[in-house]
Amino acid sequence: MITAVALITLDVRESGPLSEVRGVARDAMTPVADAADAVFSPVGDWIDGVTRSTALKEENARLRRQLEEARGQGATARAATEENKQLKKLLDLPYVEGNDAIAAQVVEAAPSNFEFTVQIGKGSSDGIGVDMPVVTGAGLVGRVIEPVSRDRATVLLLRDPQSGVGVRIEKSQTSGVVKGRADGGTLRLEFVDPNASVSEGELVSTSGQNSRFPAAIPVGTVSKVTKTQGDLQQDILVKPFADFSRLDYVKVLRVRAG
Amino acid sequence: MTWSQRLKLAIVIVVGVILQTTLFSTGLRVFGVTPDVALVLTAAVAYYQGPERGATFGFFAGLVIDLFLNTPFGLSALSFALVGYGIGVVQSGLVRASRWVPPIMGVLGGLAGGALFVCIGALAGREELLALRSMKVVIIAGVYDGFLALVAFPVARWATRGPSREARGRLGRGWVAR
Repeated sequence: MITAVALITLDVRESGPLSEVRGVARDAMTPVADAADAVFSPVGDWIDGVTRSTALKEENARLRRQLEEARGQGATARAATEENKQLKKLLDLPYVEGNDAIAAQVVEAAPSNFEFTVQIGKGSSDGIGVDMPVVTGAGLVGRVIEPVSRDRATVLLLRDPQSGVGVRIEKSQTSGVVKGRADGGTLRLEFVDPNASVSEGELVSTSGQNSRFPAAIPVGTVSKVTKTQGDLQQDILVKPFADFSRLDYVKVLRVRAG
Repeated sequence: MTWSQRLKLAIVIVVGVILQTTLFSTGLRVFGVTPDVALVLTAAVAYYQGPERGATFGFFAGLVIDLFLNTPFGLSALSFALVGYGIGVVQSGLVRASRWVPPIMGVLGGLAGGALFVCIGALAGREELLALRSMKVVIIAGVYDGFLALVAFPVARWATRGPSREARGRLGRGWVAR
């Protein structure tokens, strides 16, 4: 127990080689995890299919119709086209201009229920480092956090409560900080001037001020504004553009702003 | 405890962590929640081996899973060790075993482990863990852990089983014959 408490204290104080140890462990686990993934993904897919049988039946009927229309097109070709589409989307991102960027595949979700991170299949050997912003065609996804191993990196998603991004609201030109919320699919916008007039639907993008993120990366739209008289700040929720549950490919921007 | 048992328990931890980081973290989530494979294994080992060994197994299993998390290092180790100790103590008070014991211990271990993880995590500076969502997650994961215990308990029994009576007898006879 004393050892565990000592380890927690060391990690919280960010002293000691724990981050390096985690990086080494993840590197060592990569080939095992890849092999296990190859073995278990059909099992997972099968169980997923069984548990979603009703939806699967409907999907099956729809797919049969599609199959008739697109006779001759192989499943592999369709998957490749879709993948190509996603990667192409990543190529023409206006907010990537001027930044060196690396496309990476999302390989794993967090093994815990209490953190919102994903593992990407690129690491320090590809030039990925801590605090680099991660985007998709839709907008900002998060940032790279420790540990970054040789072949893998961990991305802290915007929806994690530990995440915070300096943003600017489009019309009102007010600044604030978007923070993750574990509950629901929205983010919380904090530190907004209580006198600023913010309305639903306004675009929220990164401000680039005192931030790890370059300016003008789209984050989401204002989905709810609650203003109570006398309160020191407004309660604003933001619906993110990125769908965190369906991340396949992302782009890591090789900038270390701030 | 023999070296063979220690080796088997180490293998159980490694396989459990591989399953946790691959199969259960992606394909087998229920309502978006993944079970705690290492925690259920801790409950199972504690049930068969008692509080001290349960706590030791929990500590090492938690330490390995901590390598793959971004929460404070040692948080799972501490939570799992406490669960191992607790389940071992509860087990020692049981009058008779029943087939319902594994799922009940799995649920108890899952709930206690999840609650400890959240509370100790909040004490270690992760206040955001104290949220309504955490309560829902702990309950769903606890029930899931109960089902998982049906597999984890036989695995733990295999790993903690010592040499059979026959084998011990053969060893004993060999010793006497010398």
